[in-house]
Amino acid sequence: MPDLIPGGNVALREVANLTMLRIGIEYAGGDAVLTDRLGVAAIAVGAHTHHDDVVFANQPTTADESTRLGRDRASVDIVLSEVPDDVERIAVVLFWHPATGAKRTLSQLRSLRVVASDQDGRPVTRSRDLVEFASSTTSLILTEVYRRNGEWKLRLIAQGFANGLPEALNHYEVHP
Amino acid sequence: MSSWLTAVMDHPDPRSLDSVAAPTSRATPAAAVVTVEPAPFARESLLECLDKPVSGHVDLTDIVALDRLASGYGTMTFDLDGASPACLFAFGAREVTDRAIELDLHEPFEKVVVALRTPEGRPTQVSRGRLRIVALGVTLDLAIPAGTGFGVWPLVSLYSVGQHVVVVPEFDERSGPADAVADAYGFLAD
Repeated sequence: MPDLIPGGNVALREVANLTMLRIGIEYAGGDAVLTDRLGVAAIAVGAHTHHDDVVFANQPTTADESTRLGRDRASVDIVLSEVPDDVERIAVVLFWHPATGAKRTLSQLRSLRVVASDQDGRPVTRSRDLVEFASSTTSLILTEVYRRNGEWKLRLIAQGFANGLPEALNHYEVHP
Repeated sequence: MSSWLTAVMDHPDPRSLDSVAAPTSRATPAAAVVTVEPAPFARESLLECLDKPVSGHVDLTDIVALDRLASGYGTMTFDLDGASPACLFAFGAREVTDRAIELDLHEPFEKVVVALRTPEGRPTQVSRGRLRIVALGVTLDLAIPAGTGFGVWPLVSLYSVGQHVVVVPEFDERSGPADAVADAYGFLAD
C-alpha cells in the first residue's frame, strides 16, 4: 500500500477484524526543547464540541473511554464500536507546548509520519513524511477518523497552525 | 495550607472523600502579625468549583478551578500591579522579575504559593494593589488590600486536583520569614 498523502483516505471496513485503531506518531530530529514539549491531542467532534471532548495531557481519555491517549503519549487509541453516535469525527493533533523564552516549530523535526495500526499492532496505513507541511507551525492536524454512510474512514489532513493547540481547537469550534 | 485540601489532592477523586472534613484552624504561621483568622474554605467549595470551572475574566474572591484546557496548556503568569514596595515571591514557581512569576503547566505540580515579599524582621507598609493571573482563556484578578508586611505574605495558593488547577485566594493577613511561611504552607521537607 502506498504511503498516504494529505487528502488521501482509507476505508477502515476493508481492514479485517478491526476493533481498535491506533494512530501513532513517529518523529525524529529536533532538540530537547522541541521534543520534550510535544503533545498529542484528540478531539471528538460532534454537532456541539466542548472542552470535555478534547483528550490531551490532563485528560487522557474521553468520558466514554472510546478515545484515549496511548501509554507512550505519542499515540491515540480509538475503539471504533464504542464511539458515541453523535461523534462525527475524531481529529488527532500534534502540538508543541509553548515555553517562555523559546520558540520552536514542528518543521524543526527531521521527519514526521502518522502510522495507523490495529489492536494487535498490525499496520493499517502510514503517511508520507509530513515535515514539509509543518513550516512555521506549532500545531498540526494530522488525521481525522470519520464516519461516512455508517462506515469509518481515515483521512490524512496535515493542516498546520502557527498559534499552537488553541488555533487547532478553534478550527473545530472549541474555544479556550 | 489547609490539611483537608492536602488530603483531597492525594486522592484520585475528591468527590468520594466523605471522611475528609474542613479543619477548624490553619497551621500557625511564622512570626508576624496575627489578626483575624480567615475562615477556611469548605470542602463543598472545592467540589462546587470543580463542577463549574471558570474561563474568561473573573475577580478572584473565592476558590476557583480553571477549565481543563487552561489547566494543562502553556504558561500561567502572575503579574503584580501596585502593592508597593513589595515584590512577588513564589514557592514552586519561577520568578521572572520582582513583579512577575510564571508556572509552566507542561510540568506536573502539586502546589504553588504566590506571595508578596517585604523585608523580613521589620514592618513595611504596602499599598493597595492587584495580582493578575493569566492562563489560556482565563484572567483572574485578585484585589490586594493595603497593609503591613513582615516578610512573605501569601496571596494565592494553587493545587493540581485531577484535571484542574484550583486557585485559592488566601486572604492571609499574616506574614513572616520565608522559612516559617513555607513550613506553614507545607513546603519544607522533613
